[in-house]
Amino acid sequence: MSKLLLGALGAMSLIAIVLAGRAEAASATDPTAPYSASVTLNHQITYPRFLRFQVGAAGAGISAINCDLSAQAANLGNGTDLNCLGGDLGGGVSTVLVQSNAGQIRLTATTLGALVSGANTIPYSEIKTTTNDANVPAPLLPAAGGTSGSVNVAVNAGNVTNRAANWTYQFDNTAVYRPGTYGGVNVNNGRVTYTASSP
Amino acid sequence: MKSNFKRIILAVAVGSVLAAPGAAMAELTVVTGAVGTLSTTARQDFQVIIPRFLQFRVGATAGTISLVNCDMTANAAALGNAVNQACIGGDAGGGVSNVSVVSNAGQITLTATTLGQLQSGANNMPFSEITTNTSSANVPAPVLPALGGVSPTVNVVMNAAPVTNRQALWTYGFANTTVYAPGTYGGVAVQNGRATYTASSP
Repeated sequence: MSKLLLGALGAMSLIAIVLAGRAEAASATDPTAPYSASVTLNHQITYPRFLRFQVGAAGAGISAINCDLSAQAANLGNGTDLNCLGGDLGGGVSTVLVQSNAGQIRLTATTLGALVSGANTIPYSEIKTTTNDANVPAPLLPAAGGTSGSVNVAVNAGNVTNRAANWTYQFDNTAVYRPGTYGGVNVNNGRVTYTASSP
Repeated sequence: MKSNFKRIILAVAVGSVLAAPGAAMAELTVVTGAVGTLSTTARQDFQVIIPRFLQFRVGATAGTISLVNCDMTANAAALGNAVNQACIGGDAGGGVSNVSVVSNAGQITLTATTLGQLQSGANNMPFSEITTNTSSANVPAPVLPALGGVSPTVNVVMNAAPVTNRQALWTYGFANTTVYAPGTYGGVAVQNGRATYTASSP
């Protein structure tokens, strides 16, 4: 009976080891009462060095921020920040996620030039970004094109970063501009590329 | 043979997972690498819509109509001597009103419209007795029509066509060119006391 029990335990252990796929060695031999048996099981996890970065929606599309000021004529050019629409969260707000185990992550923003509407332009300095978490600062959008200075995402501990924030975009409204639709979906310099980099 | 087939299927699956973030999920991307700099991007589009517009202000904001009051009660010694007398009131006080013209619609013109002479019962006083001096030549003040009607237009100087963003102070005075019958002439939307300024684009 005991041998049967021991055999059953040994078989179950072997089955479990096979299912786990991590069996390096297993033995169970003890013919003398009280019986005991032991097996060893080694575990291995291969965890990559990685960097994950999200601005806007997590799905397939590229999010758009739309500062439609058609209803703001009374305030145009008066220096008061004006709210935008769009972003994956609405109201001109985009989700930002930075996850990595590769050390200090820094962010930059690259623009192709000022926002364009025909012959007219609006510098990207009119697009203001406010973060709701100082751990994830937003790089300034280069006014007339180029790559911004880098900002550091605060690491959580050691080389690990796991930060989420919301970036809110507004129209800075510092001057009066000619009427028109400036920028857009990958037209008229409307597309900004954010870059996250490890050391 | 069967084992090799399984390995091929697994490799294809893993390869698909690794390739997907960079290809389709443009704003959520993942990269891996044992050594060296990891760098990845997320993109976002921006659009700004600026309407064609015209803002115009004379006096107070927020829908309030300012009153310029030329109370000559304390100036009896000077009445009728053609020396301009200061007024009070206006949103800036001392008979001074703030003026702002903001537009992106081209050359802005201003006119002033009065309903007639200022009245006090049966007595009249032409609006020509009200003088307007501007603090900025970029924002000239239209002459108030003495007997009612619409003034000639004056141009606000554009900053850079078609954009105008000009502010000025208009100071009102009493021209005091002659002696009038006693009374309170004009007022708040009474006795022809209200002048209407109009700003227009092309």
